[in-house]
Amino acid sequence: MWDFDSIYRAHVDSVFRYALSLVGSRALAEDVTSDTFLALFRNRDTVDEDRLPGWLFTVTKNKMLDHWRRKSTEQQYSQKWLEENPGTLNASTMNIGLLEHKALKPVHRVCLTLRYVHGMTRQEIASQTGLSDTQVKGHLQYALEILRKELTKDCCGKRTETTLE
Amino acid sequence: MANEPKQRWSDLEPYEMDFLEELSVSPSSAGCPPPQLVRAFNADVLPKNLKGSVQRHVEGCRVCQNLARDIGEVDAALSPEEQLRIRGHIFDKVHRRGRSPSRRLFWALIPALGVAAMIILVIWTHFPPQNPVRKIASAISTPDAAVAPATVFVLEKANVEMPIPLVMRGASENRQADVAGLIRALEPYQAGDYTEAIKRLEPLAQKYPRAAEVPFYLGVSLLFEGKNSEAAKNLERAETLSTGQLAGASRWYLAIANIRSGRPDEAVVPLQGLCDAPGEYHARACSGLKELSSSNNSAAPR
Repeated sequence: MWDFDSIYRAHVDSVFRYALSLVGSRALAEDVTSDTFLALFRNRDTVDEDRLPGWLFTVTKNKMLDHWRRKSTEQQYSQKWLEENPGTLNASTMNIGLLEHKALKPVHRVCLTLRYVHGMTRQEIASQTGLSDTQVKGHLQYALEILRKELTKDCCGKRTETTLE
Repeated sequence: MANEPKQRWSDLEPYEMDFLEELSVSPSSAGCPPPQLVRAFNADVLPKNLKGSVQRHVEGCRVCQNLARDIGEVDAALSPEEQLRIRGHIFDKVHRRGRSPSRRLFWALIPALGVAAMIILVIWTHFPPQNPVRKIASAISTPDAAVAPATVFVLEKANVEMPIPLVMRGASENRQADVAGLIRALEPYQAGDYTEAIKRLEPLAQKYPRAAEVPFYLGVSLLFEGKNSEAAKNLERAETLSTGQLAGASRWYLAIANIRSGRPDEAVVPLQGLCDAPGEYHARACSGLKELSSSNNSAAPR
């Protein structure tokens, strides 16, 4: 029989990353990863090593589906925000070009979007992305600085005289 | 998140408010679903009733589309703390839902050890060494020597049942820290580095005086290091603290420690207890008693 500990060490990182890609919340990805390995532990007599890590990924995805089904039925999760925000975000009313500026890297765009569109605190962004609080603060400040420079340097229509500092 | 916009935006600093103004976002205009919901939609793990409503939003929202794409590039690798928490979750869940699953793995390996011991016993019975008494006497007369006698008392490593194998019985204020400490302590044991295992387990034995597994693994590690008297003390403690199968394992290793410490008489009690009851160590204990008895008879003056 294969050694659970070896399998765990070999695959925990990839299973976690897969779970994270399915949900985007590190806390939830942790839960699902641990549930997946718990399932492996309980089925160790019937799961062949040849089926790993595919078996782990399938279980991860199924557990994620279960999670959202539970959320959906028990808490009416998304209905709540849909009812409270019927208009949703209208890109035409927002200067979305700021967030899509070519000078920004993905990490800057993520931090800016989570902070200024989703209204998250720096700690929440850190928890969401796996970055440290200091890194989040640094990325936000750097991104705003980049935008300030770029917008004053380039001529971006009405946004040239930005008030960003 | 988006369902509590006013509260969320209250912590913005002045220069950030300027940016928000530039962005033309106001609390009332934000209606994007939480990022994890968008991501789950992209990964196709949403049930149908959620999928449709999220889809309608995402298809018309470049912010959500960009975020779903970008956030995948930001995901940091699994940190040691997160890995520790995952192990802790597994431990907690196994522990909370009953210890039988982890126990099963641990004890499933014991029959293999039993078979190995029986094979050795059969070989020893059919092809006895020239002077078995001398062999046992040698083991007995050299306390604290890490020499495994070629008898039924073969020193085998006790397997660790789980990534987080210890079941804490002691009260603890910080369970996460406990689990972390226990994992670190058992890693060298699993790797066969008993010196390091002892170094890590000893402080834990002080810290958690009611946890039976700590003196158990400490005792087995000490046995492998040839510190038989110390091993006996710890295994005695483990035997006192534990119940069920761990108690049986503690008795077996205690008997070995006593024999190796030059006190075979003190091995009789734990062996008798194991021999009298059914269990993993029953056959070995009965054979061990016979072995001790025959060695005493042979060594007795005529």
